[in-house]
Amino acid sequence: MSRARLALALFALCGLGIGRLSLTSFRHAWSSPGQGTASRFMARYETLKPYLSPRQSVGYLPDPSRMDLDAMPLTGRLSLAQYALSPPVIEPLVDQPLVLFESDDPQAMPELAAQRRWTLVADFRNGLKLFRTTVQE
Amino acid sequence: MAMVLLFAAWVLPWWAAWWLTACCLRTGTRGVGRPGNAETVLCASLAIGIGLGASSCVYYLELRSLGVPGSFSQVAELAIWAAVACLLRRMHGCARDERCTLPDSPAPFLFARSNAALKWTFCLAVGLTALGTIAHVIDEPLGGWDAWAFWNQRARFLFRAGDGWRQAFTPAFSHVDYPLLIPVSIARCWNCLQADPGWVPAGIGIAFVFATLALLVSGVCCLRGQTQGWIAGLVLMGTVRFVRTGADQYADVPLAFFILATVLLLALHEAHPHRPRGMLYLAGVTAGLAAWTKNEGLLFVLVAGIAHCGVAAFQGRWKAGMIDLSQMSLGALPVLAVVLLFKGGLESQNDLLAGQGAGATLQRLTDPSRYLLIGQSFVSSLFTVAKPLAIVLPACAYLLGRARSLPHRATGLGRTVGVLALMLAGYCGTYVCTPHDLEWHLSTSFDRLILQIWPTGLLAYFLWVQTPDELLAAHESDRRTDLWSVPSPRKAA
Repeated sequence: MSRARLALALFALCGLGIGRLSLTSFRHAWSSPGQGTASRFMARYETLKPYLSPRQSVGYLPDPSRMDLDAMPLTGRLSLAQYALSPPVIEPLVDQPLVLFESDDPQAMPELAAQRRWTLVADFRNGLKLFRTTVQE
Repeated sequence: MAMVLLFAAWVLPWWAAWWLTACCLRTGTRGVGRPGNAETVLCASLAIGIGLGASSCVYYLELRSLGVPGSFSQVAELAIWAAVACLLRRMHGCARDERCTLPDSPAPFLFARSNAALKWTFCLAVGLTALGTIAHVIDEPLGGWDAWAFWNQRARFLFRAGDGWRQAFTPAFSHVDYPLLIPVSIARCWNCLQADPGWVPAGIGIAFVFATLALLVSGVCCLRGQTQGWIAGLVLMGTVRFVRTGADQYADVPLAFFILATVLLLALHEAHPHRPRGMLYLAGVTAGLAAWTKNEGLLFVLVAGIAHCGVAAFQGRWKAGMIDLSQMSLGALPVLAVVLLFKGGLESQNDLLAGQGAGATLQRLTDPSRYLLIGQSFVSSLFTVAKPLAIVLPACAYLLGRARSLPHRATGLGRTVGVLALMLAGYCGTYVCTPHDLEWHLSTSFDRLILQIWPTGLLAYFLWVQTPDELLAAHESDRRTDLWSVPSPRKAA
């Protein structure tokens, strides 16, 4: 085989390596379409939408001790919550009139809720809870 | 009706950009032969990026001045795009006498069977790429991290918040200084549909993957011949990371498109017998759109200007280089004005700039361990991106050898390599000075920075390496010389 043909064969084999992407993606898509990690977390946050209005800011309080941060790190959860719920602005603060508490344990409650006498607005039974706080002066 | 509006919102800016590109390239676009087909694909692929970029600039200006466009504004905008397209088409028709095709590509492949096999392999790879991207989008409809954390999130705010769209840039969000070509393009499409389906950002991501592929193939066809163009396309498709990143809706692939477009236009300008000024203007437009896509595009605008002037100075054409730069600036300035308008309205500063201080920056610059870590990360990221190509490309360079004679096209190579070197230097300088943890910053971004210049790197490779046609022609020529060579006196005796 001439050098030119050998080079062409090598290039062609590399080009056809894109088939790997097709195979792995089809395998995942066939078994669980649209169920990537980000999509599962998105679906979780979207349950809050009816409780929020577009122009408000909502606080965010995570419970890292009871979260599977390997599945999705804290920054990712906040970003996904912001994406899922926009346009309300989700901020990593606790002094907003509404605060979203997140844990992977459905029974978990934030200590701040008892200390500051927050009112539970909604418990979504998946670790997400929405609290009404009193605005600090 | 919404779908019709969306279709028009895509097609009309593309059509206007097509005629702009045809005017600037001074080409006939109805060619049937070899050069005509490559030019047609070149125009079409450039028009995808320029159309999307220009329409995003116009939409952003509309948002700032008039608020979210209603139905009437949308239809008026589309009518203006159609009028611009017709005007440019008329201008292209008037310049018929000055039109000429790009320089003739070298002769096609000598062996018809291998040529047919190469074409079929290329078509198969395109089919597999299309299937792979669609399957990946079905598997991960939200795309990758950056897509839902920055680009699509910003787009959602711009679309859903109505008149409160400026909330998208509150300090509560990260990286609010990121330019807006992708988010505004997505929001514009969603505004046409009055809904925010996930297939819109995915479609834009995939469009840029195929536009970059078409641009590289057609550009290399024009500069080095059809065979080399198809091989370049195969290698780009074989860079699975590149295709997956585009399907993940990251902005690195659109940026790679605009970087490649600028460098290619400058190389084509060099190769064109008449060196039309329009090509420089168009290169300025694509450089400006790179700055509107990602912050690294701002670095690229600077690098493109320096590289072009550097090459001109090396050739002893310093004054001509400055004139060329002024023409490029004419193209870049309108887009850069939009970028400055956006950046000027932000409350918060870029995180990399905010973390600088005289003492801290000096300490980072004088720490040799940072340079070592960056070098190691560069090598590992290159292998991560290239995978088997990290071995195949050098091996094939050895098999094919360096192109023996590159007349004017060689200057395209010098500028391309200059751009790559300066961009890498800029990336390294950014990492040296980063206020973030260096290992974390390198591991989460260096491979994507390499992807941004990967298609341009492939352009440089295929400009430098000999084509299989040239190698076979050289062997054929050597063989015929041997057959007809005069025997030596010793042999005759």
